[in-house]
Amino acid sequence: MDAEKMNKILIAEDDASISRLIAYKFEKEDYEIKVIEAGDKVLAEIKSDSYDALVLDLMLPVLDGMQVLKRIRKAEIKLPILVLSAKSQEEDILKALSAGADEYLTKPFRPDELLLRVKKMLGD
Amino acid sequence: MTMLNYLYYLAGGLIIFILLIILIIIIYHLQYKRRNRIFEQKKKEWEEILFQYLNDDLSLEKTAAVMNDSYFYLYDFLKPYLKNLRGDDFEKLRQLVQKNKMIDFFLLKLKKGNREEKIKAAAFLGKVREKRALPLLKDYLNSEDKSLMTASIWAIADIGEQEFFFRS
Repeated sequence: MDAEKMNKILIAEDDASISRLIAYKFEKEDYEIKVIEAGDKVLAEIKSDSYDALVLDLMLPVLDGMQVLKRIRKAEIKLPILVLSAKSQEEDILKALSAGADEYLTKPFRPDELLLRVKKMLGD
Repeated sequence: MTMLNYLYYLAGGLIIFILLIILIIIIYHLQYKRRNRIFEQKKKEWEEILFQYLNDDLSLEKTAAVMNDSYFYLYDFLKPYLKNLRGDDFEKLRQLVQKNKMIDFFLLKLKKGNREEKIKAAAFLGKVREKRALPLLKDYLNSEDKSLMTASIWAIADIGEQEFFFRS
């Protein structure tokens, strides 16, 4: 029996309670999840393993999400990226989208909506 | 000789004082570690239940039956979810804390608890937007305790009753 390829999502989120909730939601839908809590490790992780999408918090320790986003795009990695952030000012949203984010979702958020937006990015 | 005795007593007193301080620090540290250990155990137990509940895999009644004690730990556990979730998920959290009597517990603490309990109760009741807390929170706006006053301001703002600040 051929097993269908599972989509693999990287979650960069420093609040462990929230990343576990997101992971629970996605795993229920048969996504494979890996969580990273610090910004400086995201780029290396993306290069070392193949991911289908990245859910990125902007306020990450060591290296903030905006810098991570810029470095990913500078490295010409065409990974779909959804920014999930408490920063809800229009200016922050525009900055992230200009820097190469595909989607932007503000906190507080609904996990169902996050799942739908990631599915949409992946064309599922 | 008297001077020497005096110095001995002084040195002895100082040593006892330092030992007492060390003892207090050790007790405080052990209590802190014990609290963290209990919290981590409870968190592990509650997390799976909460996720099932938010995913509609577990009923409100069954969830509330598990999460019905240790309200101060439970508040610390629920804090990130109350802060980061909205819509149906937030409403589910509100229904849960109503069902498990957590709101009643913190309303009582806001009224009759000690200083720390009142501050924590104000923060919690603000996060769950409990309007029954508003009259007491308004009273605490005049409190001489700055921490309680600040917690009350934030709680009223969280509940979304800004006009409370301007009523006579």
